[in-house]
Amino acid sequence: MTGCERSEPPVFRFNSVEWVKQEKTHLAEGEHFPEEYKTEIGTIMTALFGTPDDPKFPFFLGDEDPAHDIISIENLKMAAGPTRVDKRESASGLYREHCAHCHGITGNGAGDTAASLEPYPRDFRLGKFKFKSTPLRSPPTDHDLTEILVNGIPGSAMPSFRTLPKDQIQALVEYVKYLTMRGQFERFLLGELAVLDGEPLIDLSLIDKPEGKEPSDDDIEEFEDQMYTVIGEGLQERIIDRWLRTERKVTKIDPAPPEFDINHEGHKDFVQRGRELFFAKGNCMQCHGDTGIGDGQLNNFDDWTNDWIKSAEVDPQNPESYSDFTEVGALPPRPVKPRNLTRHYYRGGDHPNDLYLRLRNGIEGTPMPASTAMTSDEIWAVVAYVRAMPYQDANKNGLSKPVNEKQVMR
Amino acid sequence: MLLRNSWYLIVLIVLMSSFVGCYQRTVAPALTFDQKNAETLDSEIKRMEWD
Repeated sequence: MTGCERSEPPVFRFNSVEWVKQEKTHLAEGEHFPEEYKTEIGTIMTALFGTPDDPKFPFFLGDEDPAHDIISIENLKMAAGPTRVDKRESASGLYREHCAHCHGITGNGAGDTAASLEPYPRDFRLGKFKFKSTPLRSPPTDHDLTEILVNGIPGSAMPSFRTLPKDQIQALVEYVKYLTMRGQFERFLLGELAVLDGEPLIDLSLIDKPEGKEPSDDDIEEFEDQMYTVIGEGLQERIIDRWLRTERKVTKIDPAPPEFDINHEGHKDFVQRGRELFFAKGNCMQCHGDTGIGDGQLNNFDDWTNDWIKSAEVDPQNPESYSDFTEVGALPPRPVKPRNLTRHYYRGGDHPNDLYLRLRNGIEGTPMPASTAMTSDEIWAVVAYVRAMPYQDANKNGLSKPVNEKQVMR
Repeated sequence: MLLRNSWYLIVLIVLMSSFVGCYQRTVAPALTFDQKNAETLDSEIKRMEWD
């Protein structure tokens, strides 16, 4: 950072946290995976995804492959690389200019500023996104990611990039998808180590014979089997295909009933109905608290933290128990805070449709569940109540107290 | 006096930023890879028939 030396080009970071997690999950105390796996995984990742300065996306299926619809190589090049604006004023290096200082070059949520932010910046590698229009376990759509970039996330350090031209926003969206798929694939490879028993993931020596020697048919078949398992199944079926299908999974938002309109004569009763659902069927007060200030359940962790603290059974209160993870780059665990609903800012957007989607689909990676048991009218009632919360005085008319549970449950 | 304090401040900022930079560069190891194998794999991926 200082001095006059030309700095090395940035590199993707190895997912050491996942490595340590896999070791602790599958190996006995003190045992380790062979170090060669790190180089092998790096080699496969580089062959498929390139480097931060020269990204690739594996269009190995030909020009007609639908994967082209997810990520275009032109957009990747626009977002990747060092920051500069060339003479034609077409920008490149957008990710490093706008995102990398928090999300990290690798998209691991561990940029230079990450440790000082609350909440931590998103680690894309888990493939989970909180605010989206698709159900749990489905990736977000381009539109969802664009909304986050354009509007930012209120109440977090994520700013709005509304002033960027549309093509640059799209380039960043695709680069985020690229980093996500790359991270998901790396996690897949690391997950395979336990069953390999020391064998390579893809054994290049099967086809890479010394001069004058040709690989046998059996060797070629074996090599191709390995390629299909790792790349065809691991990358294509588990990751790319799911991203391709996601546009079809967008949750339909049923129209709000007329009482949702604040000028409707039945609106007050509708809000009251929402309040009853908040306390009874929805069980929202368990986390958000009786008055909605987010003081209910306070000792939950999100999936990005649970991913490693649960597998290794570490005690989040005891830094020594998770030092193996923090030494390789994990950020210290912090409990996830339920939203304070009385302040009228919502991370996933304040449009009624946004709130409807948060209730209907839940928030991926957090304890907020999907409200599968509620009808759409009931969800709209809760949305109406949540939107009314900032404007009611919690201390008046007994609103700070939970309603009589027996009365509500009947 | 003001000038001298400014210099202290500049030195402090430079030291802190280099510390933060070094810290971030050392905690997570870089991805190591074999360039020749990566190229072989790349050409094999392109050569194979995927369906």
